[in-house]
Amino acid sequence: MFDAILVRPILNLMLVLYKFLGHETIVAVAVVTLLIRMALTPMQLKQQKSMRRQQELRPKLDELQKKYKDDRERLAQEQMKMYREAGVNPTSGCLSLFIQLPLMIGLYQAIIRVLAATPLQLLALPDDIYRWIPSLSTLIPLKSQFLWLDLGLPDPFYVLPVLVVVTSWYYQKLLTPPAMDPQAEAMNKQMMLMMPLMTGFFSATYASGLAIYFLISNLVGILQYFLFRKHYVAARSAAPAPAKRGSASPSGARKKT
Amino acid sequence: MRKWRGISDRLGQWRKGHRRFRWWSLLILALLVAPMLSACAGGGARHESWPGLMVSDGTLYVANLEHVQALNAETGKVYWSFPEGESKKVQPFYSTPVLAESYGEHGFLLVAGYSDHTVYALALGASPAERPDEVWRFEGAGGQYVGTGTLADGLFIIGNGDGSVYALNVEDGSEAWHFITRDRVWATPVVVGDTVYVASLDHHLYALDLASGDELWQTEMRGAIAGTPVVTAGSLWVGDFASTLYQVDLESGSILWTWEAADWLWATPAVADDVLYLADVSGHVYAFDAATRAFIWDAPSIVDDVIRGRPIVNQEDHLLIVPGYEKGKLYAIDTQTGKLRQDWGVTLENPGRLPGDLVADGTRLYTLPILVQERVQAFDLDSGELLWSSPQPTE
Repeated sequence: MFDAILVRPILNLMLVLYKFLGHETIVAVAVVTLLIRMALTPMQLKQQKSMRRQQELRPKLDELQKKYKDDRERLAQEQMKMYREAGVNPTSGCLSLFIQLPLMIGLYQAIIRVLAATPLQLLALPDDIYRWIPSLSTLIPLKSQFLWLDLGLPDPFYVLPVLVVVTSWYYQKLLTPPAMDPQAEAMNKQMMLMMPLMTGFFSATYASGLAIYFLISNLVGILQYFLFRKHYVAARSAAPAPAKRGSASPSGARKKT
Repeated sequence: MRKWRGISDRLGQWRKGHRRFRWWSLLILALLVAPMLSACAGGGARHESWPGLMVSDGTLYVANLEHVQALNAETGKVYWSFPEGESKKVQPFYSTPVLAESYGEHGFLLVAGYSDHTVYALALGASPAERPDEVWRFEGAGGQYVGTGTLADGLFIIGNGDGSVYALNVEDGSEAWHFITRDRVWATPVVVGDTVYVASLDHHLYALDLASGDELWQTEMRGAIAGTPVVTAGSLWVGDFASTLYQVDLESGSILWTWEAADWLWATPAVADDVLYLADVSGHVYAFDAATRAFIWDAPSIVDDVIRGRPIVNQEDHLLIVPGYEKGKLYAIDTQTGKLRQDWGVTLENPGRLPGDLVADGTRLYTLPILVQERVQAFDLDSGELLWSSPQPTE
């Protein structure tokens, strides 16, 4: 089921891209990654908007924390009330992660299968190729070498894992919303450490094609973030003052961005 | 309003445990993703291969997982293993051993490892049970050995994953010449007279001079070639991943004729009396008269399995025996009618998979199943009855 819905379409898309983009596997992987990022863009923009709003709510959150410092339950209720009124979803980051996860696994499986590093892996490949697209079998085996990399194997010099860790950390740093209390701040720090280390571990352990996916995905995400910020700041400066927006209804707040 | 308060309360409680939740969620995520990635990368404790065997004078020489073994062909008893004991360096064998009988006192056994990129020459003893000594090793290749080598004129010629074909002097393992193709060479080189024919995954068939390794000609095919070509009826026949069978002129390399199968052609065809028995990876089996270019059966015989290994022909009983890879089953086909023979063979409880070529010695048929404990099996060639397995389940 997972194969039919995700892995085979990605694998065959990679073959088609390989065919038309100069028989370069890395280009095919990069384009597939870009397409996945494009598909996820609306959701990620929504997430970034939500986080921006959270940042803007920071002074009010501080006030709430001072006011209800001895009543954590009430504090949580007031925070949620404020989020609701401002149209902010504090769990949107998790949703993005869980949507990306199957795509990442699907892409990784497609890379491993299409590159077929061993003869036994190659023997399993004919089942995955769409026969209704002409001549895809004639492309096999795909060129897996790029500079020092064999895309079907981990990077022997750990260059890609290091780049993935650095870009993941920076991207995570950009996306992390401001902490509302010391506990949340500690959690943010742990997340900023854990996520890059986890992607770095996967990049060092598995096929370098996956590391290419992480790297391009992070770079596009960073670019997207700055483009969004530029656009958002411009849109905000043209809009009425944020103080008035605090009392606006959630639907009203959304319309103004 | 009450509903909102309820949700808000729950979220408040959730936020209390938020820190712990995110930590655990990441840990769970890592634990979930890592096995999924590992599974699809083929990661496992053991690196499987397709093992190969040859039989000579009642002894089987098997290259299997990390060892080369000699077994009694009648009983399956293991005489010796090389290297002795547990191999520290994982070097699963794909390449079948080759016996060079006229070298050393009792012959050399030549075998090439997969991940250690090494060809070994073992000097055999006076009796099959005697442990062999390593006489030389060749470590000059940069890739994995998948195909088997060929002996010709004092040379052991073998293709490698680095894209080269190496010709080694059998006496001492020194390199006589090497020829570079554009991709991996998994097929066994074929020697006819003074010419070596090499099929490569780079879609080309090459003809090389046996003495010098100089290129005589090259011919481009539509797909990658992983199966070993065969020579019969005065032509060379080879199939590719574009599902095409080619008849090639031995002298000029020109393509004389082509025909398209239903799927990839990977298995080396079996040949008997100028008839080619071809099988594609989706289980279509064809009988083709190479002399007349005519198909013998009205329609291909279809087995519901992937076929990678070379079939064998039992001419006496008009049987073609085909190894099914995924189901690990042996299929017997009547060579005259193309019909499956249900009266031949046995159903094994846990057959594993059969990626390798079949080998027979006139009375017995040998298989090398993978993903099971029994790594070598012998069947009666006439009935398909299982004679022995090695190692025995209790061993």
